[in-house]
Amino acid sequence: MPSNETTDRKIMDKKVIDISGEIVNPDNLKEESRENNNTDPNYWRSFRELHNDPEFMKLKAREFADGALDKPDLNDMSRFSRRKFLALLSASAAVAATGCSNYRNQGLLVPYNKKPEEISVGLPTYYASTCNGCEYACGVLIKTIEGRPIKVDGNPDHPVSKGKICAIGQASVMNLYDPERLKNPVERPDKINSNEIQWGVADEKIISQLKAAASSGKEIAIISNTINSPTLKKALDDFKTVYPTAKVYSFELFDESTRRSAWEKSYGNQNLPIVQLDKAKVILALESDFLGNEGNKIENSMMYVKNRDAYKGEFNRLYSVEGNATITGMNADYRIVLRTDAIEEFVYALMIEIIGREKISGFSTDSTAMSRLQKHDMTNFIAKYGISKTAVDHLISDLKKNQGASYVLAGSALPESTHIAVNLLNEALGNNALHSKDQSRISLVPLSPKSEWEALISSMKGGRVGAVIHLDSNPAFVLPSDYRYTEALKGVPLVISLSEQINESTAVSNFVLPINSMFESWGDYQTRNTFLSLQQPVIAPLYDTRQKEEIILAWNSGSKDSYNKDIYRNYLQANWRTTVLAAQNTDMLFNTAWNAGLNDGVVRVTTTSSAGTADVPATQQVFKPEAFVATSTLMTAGSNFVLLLTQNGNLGDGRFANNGWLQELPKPLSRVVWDNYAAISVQSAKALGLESSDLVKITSSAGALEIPVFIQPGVAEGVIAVQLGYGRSECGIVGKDVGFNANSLVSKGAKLSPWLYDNVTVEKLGGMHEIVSTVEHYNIEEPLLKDIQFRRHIIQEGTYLQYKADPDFLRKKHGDNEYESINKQYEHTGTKWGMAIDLNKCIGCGECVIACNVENNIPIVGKDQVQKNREMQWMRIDRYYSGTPEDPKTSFQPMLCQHCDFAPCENVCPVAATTHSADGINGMAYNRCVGTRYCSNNCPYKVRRFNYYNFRDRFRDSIQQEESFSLMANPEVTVRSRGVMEKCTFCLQRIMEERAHAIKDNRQVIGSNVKTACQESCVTSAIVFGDSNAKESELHKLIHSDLSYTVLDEIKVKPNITYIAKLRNVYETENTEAKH
Amino acid sequence: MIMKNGLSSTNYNKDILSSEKIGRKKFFLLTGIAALGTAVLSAIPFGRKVVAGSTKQESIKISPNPHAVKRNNRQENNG
Repeated sequence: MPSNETTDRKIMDKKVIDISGEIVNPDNLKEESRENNNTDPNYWRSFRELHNDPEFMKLKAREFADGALDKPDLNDMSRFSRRKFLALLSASAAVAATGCSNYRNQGLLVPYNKKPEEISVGLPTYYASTCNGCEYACGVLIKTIEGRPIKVDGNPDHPVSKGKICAIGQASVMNLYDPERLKNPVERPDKINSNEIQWGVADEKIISQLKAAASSGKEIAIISNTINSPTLKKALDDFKTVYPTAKVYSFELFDESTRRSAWEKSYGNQNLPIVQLDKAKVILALESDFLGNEGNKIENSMMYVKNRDAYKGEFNRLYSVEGNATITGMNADYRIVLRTDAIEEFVYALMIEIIGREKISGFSTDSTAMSRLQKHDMTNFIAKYGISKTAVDHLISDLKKNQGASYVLAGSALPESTHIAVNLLNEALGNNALHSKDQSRISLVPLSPKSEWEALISSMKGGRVGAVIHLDSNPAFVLPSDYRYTEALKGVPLVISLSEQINESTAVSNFVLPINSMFESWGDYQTRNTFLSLQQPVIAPLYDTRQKEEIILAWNSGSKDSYNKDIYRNYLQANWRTTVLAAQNTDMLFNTAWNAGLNDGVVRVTTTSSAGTADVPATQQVFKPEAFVATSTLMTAGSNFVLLLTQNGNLGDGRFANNGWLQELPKPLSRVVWDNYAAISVQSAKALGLESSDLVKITSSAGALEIPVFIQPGVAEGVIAVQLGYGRSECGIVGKDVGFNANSLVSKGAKLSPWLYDNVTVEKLGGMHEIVSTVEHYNIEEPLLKDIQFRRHIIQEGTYLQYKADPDFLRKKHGDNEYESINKQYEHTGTKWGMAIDLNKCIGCGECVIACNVENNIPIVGKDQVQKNREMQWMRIDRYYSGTPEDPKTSFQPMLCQHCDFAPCENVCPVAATTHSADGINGMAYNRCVGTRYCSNNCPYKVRRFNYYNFRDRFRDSIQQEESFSLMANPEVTVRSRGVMEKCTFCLQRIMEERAHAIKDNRQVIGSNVKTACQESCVTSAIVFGDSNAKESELHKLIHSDLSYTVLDEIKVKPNITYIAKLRNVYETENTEAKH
Repeated sequence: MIMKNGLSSTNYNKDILSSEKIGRKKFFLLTGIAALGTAVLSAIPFGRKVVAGSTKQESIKISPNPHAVKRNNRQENNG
């Protein structure tokens, strides 16, 4: 090695030379770094990165991926000569000029001839409403500009969601403007061909057939998802009065049936409590993805992070025991990888330790209960499954120390017997103290049990059903396939589907009636006993559609002429006049109260009783030990695979498959888009000789499915997990045939639960289906050598104990970030925009990405373009693993334009299209950009996105160019075209709005008044934006806090995004890998 | 080969419209035909609509719901 070399290391011929001059084998570095006592984890994002795959290293060093810069094949080019082209071009221009009329004389252009009273031109208007994307009915604020809804955010006044909504709610505006929405009623006499029909004619035909069915004693089945609208329930009750043979069935793909039946056996009712996780010091999640896909994840996430604040000295501890890899598990302080069918044994072993040995509760003297536990032993269990004894010991100790302040959550997929055991454990620990005493869930119409469905199917086959009405539901796709629902429908003479879009159920219907979206509908919702929420239409229906309740009311009247556009509004008000607002016992005029309710979106009620199931207050729920004793089955681990069917947080049960934004949102861990897959462990993949994208056949007692695999670090050996909601066969062109329909694996007669199957075989097939993951896209350049002296510290973490012992530990570990730069420091004396992202609160859910997409008119590019690294999302959530592939720790980091003060992208733009403003924003002038992509090349964070195409013109037959799609665009943000670079702008349009208000009010700009789209949508409030120069602001405090750091600060670009280092609340003082 | 003004006139007698290169004569001939055609089309009303998309369906009309109650900003509520 030359003696005058001053670099730390040099790379020659793929060999690596250490600082001492020794040639080092890169594959041995992990071991070497351990030997050198280096405690910094080795962060990796994919297996290729972990194993220093040479191809991957080449890819990292290059700015653009393979195929991104493909040159056109000259042989395919036209033989048209340049001269001929230019000549014809000029001729065409001459023709166009002669053909043009005098375009200046179009008359006076005004926004409105008669401006509607409620619209202020150029200013947004907000309407409170309710989202009906799922059964939780979160409150929303719909932002409209000149009458057009363009953005949906949470309603801060909603007591449960408190101003936050999920990705489905955020992206719901695309559902409104989807060009493939059903626009007209259609009759399909042979269920094959469709004829457009007038509403009046449809109503007349349907009413007569409904009357005939009722009078002949044949059942009229109304099939719906969860009914949580009191007024809709009343309308259906009225329907049942008019048509006495009518019966309502309701279902959900994930209906918590095992949890509810376990609760009924344990407590005698199905009133699941509301658990106050914000008061829990210790949470144990058993295959429970409560932060991701289970339950009301908005409420769960908010409650969970309330106690993840190091500065306030409140830090809960989350344990996760799971077979699948979920964001709950990956956010856990201690994660125990255990196959799902062994979890019940684990609970028993836990109970014998806590109840049996420590005798912490009265159940320890219950001999029948204890006799079931006696043969279990935690030490043997740990040895049998090879899990971490340290983690288990800490868990037992924590649960014992925090009785009444801890909670054990069992996942919805687990069988009834596991839920009963967990109920007993919580009872023994006194954790029922965390059940909310003043709030309870309301179930207006209980979900139909299996017996009712079987009876319906039998009646349908026997010709005893005269009509089936799909009330905004899709049972043909969602119901377990062994019901053979679609076949049974053939025996029904009248099948009606009320739907916004085509689906598998409309395909087998005689009448398809288009319904309004949530933006065009009136409604009310009750999910808790303490309030109701209202839904109001912000625009008139875009097409010839009606609200489903209006259709029901028209049928109730028995006359096709009864319909008018206010029919349901009047009905809703009449109902509230006699129920909700009458019960308020207020002397306000009804209209004032009604308008106040619409303004707020929420009406609080004082009654504690519900219209539905009888409430039993939480304090009166008494556990029945005989429920545990009577449980005859115990789920035990087998030798074959165990299959876990999970919910997809983006697509729901598949109803949002046609929403391109949701399809293109990377899944939190795998970062896969536009597909589902079978997540399999590293060990199982090795045993079967599988690589990601290889096709396998999964066979269970329910059925079989061919699906590609994805090797997911952290999945337990022997577990295979598949997300449902994909593989729609009857869908718009965006979602049709995307992914694989795993509903064939759901069975009504499952032994364990409809979402959990043991004794499953997995067989490798010959082919493959390319799965596209964004995990390796936009790699921040790292040295080839992950060596001990020089790391990029992109992720900085510690433990809560370290922080408590020495708040300055991070600075001492990584050095401070004094900047020395050749650039002249510009003093930002006025407003300086900046952002802080608290990695303790960020759970990696990706809601911020969707919010940014909606706010900034991000186009959908499609799977093929994502494969070429061309996804256009301005924000990405980088997911880093550390530790072993079998049991990794995960770190999430939202990455967006850092708006560097010394931005390397600004210096290299040849046309000055990207510049730095006086208030710290790195701006883009789209009409200056000529597309050299030099800025992207120079960006160390890889946050710039280039429009290789006009993606709106390219994706799925230019669907994004349809007129309705253009209505969806936010008019405050430029729609970029081909050849232009774009990136995060810190929501400059919102900053400008605040500036305009400041000028109008004659005051300074207040940084905290501006909330970026990502900040507003972040469920856990991990993102804080504002003026970093405002000393009293939260942002300023975060930037100057002990745990703050900036990414790649050693390259002296001075980013304006500060990250707050993640702390893991572990007992170990060093953030070491779990040792087995 | 006839030389005229120093230029080869080999192609002079060939069919103008079939030559690879667009000569000046051909250019003006085509332009003239195109201009004439455009003038004829704009003068004689054939009833042809050229607006893309409008033949498929009526343009979407956005009209706000008069019964909806708005907020002026996100924080406004009745408590």
